[in-house]
Amino acid sequence: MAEEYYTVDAEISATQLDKICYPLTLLTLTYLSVNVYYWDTIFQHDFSQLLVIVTNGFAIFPIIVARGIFLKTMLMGAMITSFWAHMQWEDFNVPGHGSGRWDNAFASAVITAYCASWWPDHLDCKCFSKSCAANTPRFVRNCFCSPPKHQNTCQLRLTF
Amino acid sequence: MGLQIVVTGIVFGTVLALYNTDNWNWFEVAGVSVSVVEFLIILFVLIALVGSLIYYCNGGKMIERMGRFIFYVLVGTFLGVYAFVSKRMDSDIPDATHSIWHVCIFISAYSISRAHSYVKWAKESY
Repeated sequence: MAEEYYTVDAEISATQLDKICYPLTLLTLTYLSVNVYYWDTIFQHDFSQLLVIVTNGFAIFPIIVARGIFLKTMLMGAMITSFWAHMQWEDFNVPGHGSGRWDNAFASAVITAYCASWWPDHLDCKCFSKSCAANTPRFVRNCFCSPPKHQNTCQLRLTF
Repeated sequence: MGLQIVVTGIVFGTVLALYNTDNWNWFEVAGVSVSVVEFLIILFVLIALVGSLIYYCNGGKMIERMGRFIFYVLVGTFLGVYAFVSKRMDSDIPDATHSIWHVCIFISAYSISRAHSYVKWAKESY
């Protein structure tokens, strides 16, 4: 009988990523919320100094699944500037200055970009009388009075 | 699409301009000072939660798997709220509470992105 061969499917789906992401989150939050507070001061200090830098790595999970190149770029900016800022604040010799400003700016921008990605592109307001529809300018009707087709996510696609 | 870049740009510029200045803290609520950026972010989050979720969940016609969608939104919302609470926690180990902020806010973003993947788009706009 001829031997059969097959290729191993190594693609990672978002559901598989859940199985890594959520247990890791639960474990880290348990350590941070419970264990760390019961350790001796010297362990608490060193471990929390390490964790405040390392936990920035959790940004890799949303970077993988975030929709749109713009959101992914903002998340990468937030992760890199947060690594930079925390290393400076923990007295590592890291070049540059004003890291806190950039860290705050990227963190706020990421949250705003996420919120904006949920807003629909149109508001689908309805006129309750014919005179209202007739008196509403075409531009306003286009923006506010048509059903939404998608959200405000900047995909930055290179194909049209 | 343009709205996301414009709004994000405005917030980004506001933080860069006002960080560590006298205008950073805007007002106080029950003895807790609220900065301009915190106010803007909470406002945007509320608009996104109340406005768009009510719209997209209306009748379920734009959501592919409603059960999974609700699960990821609830996890994302819980972790997002816990992240903001952790910023206000009084602790002897501030680095530990700030690590909680990192984990919660990034996994909240992950959960919200997962929920986003269940929203249907019109074919011609995708």
